Amino acid sequence: MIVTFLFFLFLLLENLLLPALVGPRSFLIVPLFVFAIVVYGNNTKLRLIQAIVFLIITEMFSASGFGDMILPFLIVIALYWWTNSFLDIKLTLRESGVLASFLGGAFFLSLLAFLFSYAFLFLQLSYSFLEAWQMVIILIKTSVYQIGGWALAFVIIFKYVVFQKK
Amino acid sequence: MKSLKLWSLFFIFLIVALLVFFIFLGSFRLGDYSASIKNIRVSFFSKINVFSSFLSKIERISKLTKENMFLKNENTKLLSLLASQDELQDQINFLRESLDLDIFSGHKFIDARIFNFQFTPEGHHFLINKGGESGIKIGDIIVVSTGILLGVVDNVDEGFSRASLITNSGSKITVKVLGKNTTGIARGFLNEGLRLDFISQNDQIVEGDTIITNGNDMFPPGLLIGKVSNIIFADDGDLFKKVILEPEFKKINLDRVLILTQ
Repeated sequence: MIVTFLFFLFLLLENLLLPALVGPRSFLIVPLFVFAIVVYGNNTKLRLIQAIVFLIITEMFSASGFGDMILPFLIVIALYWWTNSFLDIKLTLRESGVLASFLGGAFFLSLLAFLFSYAFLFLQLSYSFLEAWQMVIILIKTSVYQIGGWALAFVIIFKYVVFQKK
Repeated sequence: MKSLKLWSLFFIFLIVALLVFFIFLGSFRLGDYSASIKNIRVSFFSKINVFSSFLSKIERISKLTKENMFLKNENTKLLSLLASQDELQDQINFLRESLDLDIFSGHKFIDARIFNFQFTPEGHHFLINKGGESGIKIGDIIVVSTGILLGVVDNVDEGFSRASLITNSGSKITVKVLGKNTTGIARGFLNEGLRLDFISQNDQIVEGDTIITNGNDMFPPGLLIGKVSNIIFADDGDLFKKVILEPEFKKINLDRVLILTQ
């Protein structure tokens, strides 16, 4: 329930409130949010379904084409799952100490967001690896701090508040 | 006999005096009595009056409530009229402002409003409240009434359209420096604004220069893009200067736009 409430809050924040208050800025709040619930949520499969539902709502809200966000998300999640099978990233992030958890979690969520961006651009730009790469580089150059900041905020929200271990 | 007469006179005087006394006394008592009755009546009537004024107050309150409701309705109607008049005035001013601009001559333009912003890895897209039914097509140019270029329509639906900002990483516009012969290509650079490509080390350009479209591509000439905010001179033998532009649309409130149909 709280996750759904937070999702709508951040959806409105990214698409209505922040553009109205600070003008157009790059944040990737919704993608970071859905990755955070999958990485920090207890029941990964359930959280994955929830994340897909959230992305469908986002696509409808922002008049994007169906699958524009879901497809790159699924590609990145598949990559994450495969990597997790031998690196155990999820467990490491959940069990690590405060500083490592903050920095590691923020770095990992930012990495997932940039991979998502690359997959998104690759699919949007008629499968052009090079053009997508150039655009991701622009995104990293211009908004790495904003995206890193939001990733850190989501680590704190999800690890220490919403999915806190009892 | 004489004493009898005196006594009789005294007696008559006494009777007259007593009569006078009693008459005065009587008249005083009558007056007092009538004053008392008057007081009682006043008090009684005042009590009745309080009651009647209370009743009349209730009646007046009821009338006032009705009047108040009527006035509130009237006020709402007037406010609604005022709002529609204000909106019309706003629209008239906006269109008047637009018509004065030479750059829009020969173009059909549609007035629309922005109602949503969305950020994707490509950059910002915004939704406008006019779509295919208003004659909008993909590739139509979006400007604000003062001639500032905002973006291009990239998706059209019934009732709304989606457009991308000129600062998006895929955006490219051929531009020139206002009042100079320097030309180049402005490329969207997300949060940083725009970057001006192909400006050689010898080209005349300084910070604060105004950049406009030169009309060599799909955009009509003379649309305002932004101002040069930073120039980085390369030391390593680079042929071109690195020029950063601050888009002009960041300085205005993005609400009402014009769509120049092709």
